[in-house]
Amino acid sequence: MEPKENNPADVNFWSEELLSGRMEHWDRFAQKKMRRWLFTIRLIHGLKRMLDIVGSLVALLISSPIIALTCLAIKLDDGGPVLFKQIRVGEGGRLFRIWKFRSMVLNADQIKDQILEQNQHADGVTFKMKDDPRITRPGKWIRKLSIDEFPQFVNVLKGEMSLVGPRPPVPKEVALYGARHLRRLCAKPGITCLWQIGGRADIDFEGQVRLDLQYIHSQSFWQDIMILLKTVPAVLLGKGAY
Amino acid sequence: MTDIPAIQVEGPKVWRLGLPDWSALDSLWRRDLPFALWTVGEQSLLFHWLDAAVDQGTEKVVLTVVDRPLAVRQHIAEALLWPIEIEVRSAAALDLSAMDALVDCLPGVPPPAAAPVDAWSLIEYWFELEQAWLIQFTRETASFGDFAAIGRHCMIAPGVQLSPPYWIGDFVSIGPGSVVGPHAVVGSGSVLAGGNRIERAHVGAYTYLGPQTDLLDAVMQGNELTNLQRRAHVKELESFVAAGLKPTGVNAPPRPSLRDRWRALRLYLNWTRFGCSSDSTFTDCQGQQRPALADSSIHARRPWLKEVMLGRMLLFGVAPRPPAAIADLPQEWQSLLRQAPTGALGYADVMGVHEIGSEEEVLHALFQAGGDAAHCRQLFEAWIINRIAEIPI
Repeated sequence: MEPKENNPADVNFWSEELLSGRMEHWDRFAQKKMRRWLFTIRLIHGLKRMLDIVGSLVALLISSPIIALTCLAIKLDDGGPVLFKQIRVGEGGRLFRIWKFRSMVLNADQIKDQILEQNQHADGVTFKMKDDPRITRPGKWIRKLSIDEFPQFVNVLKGEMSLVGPRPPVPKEVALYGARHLRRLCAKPGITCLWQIGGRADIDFEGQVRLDLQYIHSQSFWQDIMILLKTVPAVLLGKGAY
Repeated sequence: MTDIPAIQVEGPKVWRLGLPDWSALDSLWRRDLPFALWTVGEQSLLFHWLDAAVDQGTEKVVLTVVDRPLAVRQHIAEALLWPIEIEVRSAAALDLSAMDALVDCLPGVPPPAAAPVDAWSLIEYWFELEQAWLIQFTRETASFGDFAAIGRHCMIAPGVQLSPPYWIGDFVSIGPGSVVGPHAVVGSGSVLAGGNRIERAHVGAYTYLGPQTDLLDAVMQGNELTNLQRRAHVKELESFVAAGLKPTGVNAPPRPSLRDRWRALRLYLNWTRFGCSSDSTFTDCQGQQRPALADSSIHARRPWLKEVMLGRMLLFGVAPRPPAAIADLPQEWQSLLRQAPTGALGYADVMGVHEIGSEEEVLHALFQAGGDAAHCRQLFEAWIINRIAEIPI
């Protein structure tokens, strides 16, 4: 480590301060700069959490009539439970329970093993198919309009998820991840992210990981708001959702 | 041993990795962690191997550790990310014939030419490993663009020159007029004030580097500078040149819960009648200023309960003690006590031992710091509930 010697002004900068004994001033400058940056980092976390809490409360309030109608529709269809909970992998690999509206028949997991060869994601890590026979009649609309994701606002309020972030995978998927894919788990999972507004289920697994990593590395308060705003038309148009 | 080992075909896919014991060589930096846990780029050397194990489809990794196995266990317990089984076995010596690989270099990358023989060659060996990682990382993530090499929530001033290969961690602030790279690593949470030139250098995590300061062929960790070109080492620089920053955000030290603060208040008020108080303070082995205790009774901890209420200390943790109190303990025990979260009441109190620094108390503190923390907390919960219940309303 050396003081800059190629620029005479920089040399003076050091010597003048040293001679005048005003090093305390630069010490205070350093302390101030460090404190300001620590405050900025705390602010980043605080703003994101605030956006999550306010956003989820507003979303739950606005969508309460839709939630009530969905509960009624699911109950009238086959009389089964309205909500469906599933273990997902969250931030840092921690497991948590995700809540969704049930859009599939009650024995969906058993049927999945029989239709596994029709998976449209060639990577074999994730499972998606068009005209999935396990989806119920109201389930088709619930999924098309992404209403099944609404109960996750409660997960957001609990702090297990964020409004914007990579989708939380199921443990079975994580078991097939490569090291690079595990980087997705560095951030708090979210309800929507870049690939949901890009092409949603049409994007393959590698593309999803790439977009998730891109989000993790470039996330900011304004980008989160932009993603949330872009999610609304993507959901209403039902692009890539089935 | 550079190649990624072949996986056993029969039975579960297992890797047997050995961690080298170079603690005797680490006489300059005196790190709390064994060499395999030193950070190489974005993560520790061992974690690079665990990543490779995941990529190879390994189901289980058996680690044989000679140097500070407790630290390795703790490090792995804190990282929950790998979907593989990891077993840590402590051993007195490494039997290389029983190992698939030795964690002394990066997987699949040729190791530095010469093995370390002393403190300086160990640092140079590590530095070469990191440079090799940087080149490999830049090559592998070339298609990703800048977002792979720059971490989350970084603030980089306009006009800063970034010359690959470089890697910048999360929460880094780089001031105007700086030049980062080539061959530069800036650890997470660091602040470069501005006008800095970082070339063939490593800025450790949570380091502040003052304005108009260059790092060439050097390693800066907190206020500790190591110049590799001139083999010079400065332990403490002035804080306007470089300083260590407190981790914040996701890495912030734990704070007491509201319930624990309430419990501390109940005990504080109840113990007023014992009248133990002291105005003096001491610096504990973690560098924090703590109120000194008047005597060795549990009621003398009232000033620490006040610290709990103010959120400066946990209610349940290892009792803070001055550096001199742990100087005679083995290196690994010292590092355990230095890193454990400090608290006003500890596992030793649950077991009825209140004299801090006594032989029995130190053993309980070590069990709490390196053993089953969840079990200790469970016992403490039962103990504190009884203690609070005894207080008359």
